[in-house]
Amino acid sequence: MKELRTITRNLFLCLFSACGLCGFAQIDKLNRATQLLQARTPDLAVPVIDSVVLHPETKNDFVSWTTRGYIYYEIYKKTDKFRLNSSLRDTIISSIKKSNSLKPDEVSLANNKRLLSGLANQYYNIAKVLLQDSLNDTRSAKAYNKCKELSLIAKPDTNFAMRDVEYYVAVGSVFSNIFNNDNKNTKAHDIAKLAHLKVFDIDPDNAPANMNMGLMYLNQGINLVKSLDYGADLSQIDAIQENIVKLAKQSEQFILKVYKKDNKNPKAVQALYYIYRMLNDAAKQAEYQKKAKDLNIKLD
Amino acid sequence: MKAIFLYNFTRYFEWPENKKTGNFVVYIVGKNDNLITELKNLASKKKVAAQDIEVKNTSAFDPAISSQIIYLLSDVSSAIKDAVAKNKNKGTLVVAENSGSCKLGSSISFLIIESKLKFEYSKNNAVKAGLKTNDDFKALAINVD
Repeated sequence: MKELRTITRNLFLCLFSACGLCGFAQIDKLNRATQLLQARTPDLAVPVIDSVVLHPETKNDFVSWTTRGYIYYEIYKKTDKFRLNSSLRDTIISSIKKSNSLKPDEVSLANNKRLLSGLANQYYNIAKVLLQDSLNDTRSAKAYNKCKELSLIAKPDTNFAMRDVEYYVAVGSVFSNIFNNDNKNTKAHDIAKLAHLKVFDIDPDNAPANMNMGLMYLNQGINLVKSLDYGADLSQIDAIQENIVKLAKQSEQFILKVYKKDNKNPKAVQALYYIYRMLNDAAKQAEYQKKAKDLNIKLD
Repeated sequence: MKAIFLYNFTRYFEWPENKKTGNFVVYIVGKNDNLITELKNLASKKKVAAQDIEVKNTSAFDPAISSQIIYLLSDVSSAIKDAVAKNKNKGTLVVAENSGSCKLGSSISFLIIESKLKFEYSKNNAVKAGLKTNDDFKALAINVD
């Protein structure tokens, strides 16, 4: 409420400063649209502002376009806030872009940035919801890219490193869990791996990403062991052992990074015990078994 | 993994007639709870020919226990010679966890090569133990004779 009042007051200021540039009839209309926005009746303001931005006298007025963005935003936030595709949002963005292209003054520019930043944050929320609730990585990625696109328009020097790490760790976690529960789901494996590789580009020692990658390889190895039939032929066992060793070694390199950062991390200690068990390394297996015991970590 | 190997070994040896009746006893000497659990699970699902598998376990070697396979874990490696001597020509396959144990008389001993579980095999020791052997087995093992 307070925010809307501040924004509409700013819009009014811009509106009166623009009086000399436009015809009074259109200024009256713009004034009317702003009043309707302030009165929280954006539906009534829409036809008014749409006619203002189409009129030759005001179509190149940045205040009209910014006002249009805010009017549509009032409707959007009630109905479309959590929709990935929203024509209302598209209208807001195109209005703000148009306003930005008309060299707005500082006040309008700040209003434009605020609106775009808000939309960017909503896209981020959509990205997370799509990921965690719908497990839809494609739509989630689309929302995340939109978030970045709008953030860059609002603030061209935005550094996405931290947010990229946060987002891609989330993607990696969701899909590595899916893969760990169903090792036949290679799509989940590939999505998780790709997401983690993006994290490693920015932060190679990222603990959650290293843990997720390590556990994916470890679980594949454990499942291979479990899949071995008691009656499997010795030559067949040898080939399977080869794969188990490869997977355990791949897992080891990731889990050790986590362990080096935090040698009391229960998951890392537990994973290393199983890794060395798979690698038939009795000494290290005993070492991590002891650590697990000291830390009250249950094994097997 | 060792449980699978132990079960697989049964395919490549022939035990004397008196050991082909009753349960097929796998006698584990030493402490390894995981292995015992795994072997008991195996025993509930598999047989050796028509024989049910029975898993026995003691912490020290007990010569009174008759079995088809004795598996000596590393913590009781000092008992290998005794186990071999007491089971000479009795149709008992002596398997040791520690590598190099064939030199002490076991027929098979495990070893780790490049993180993989392998096994050494002494056909001579198996023959001395009263077992009929299968030459296919030699091809799968690291032969020490």
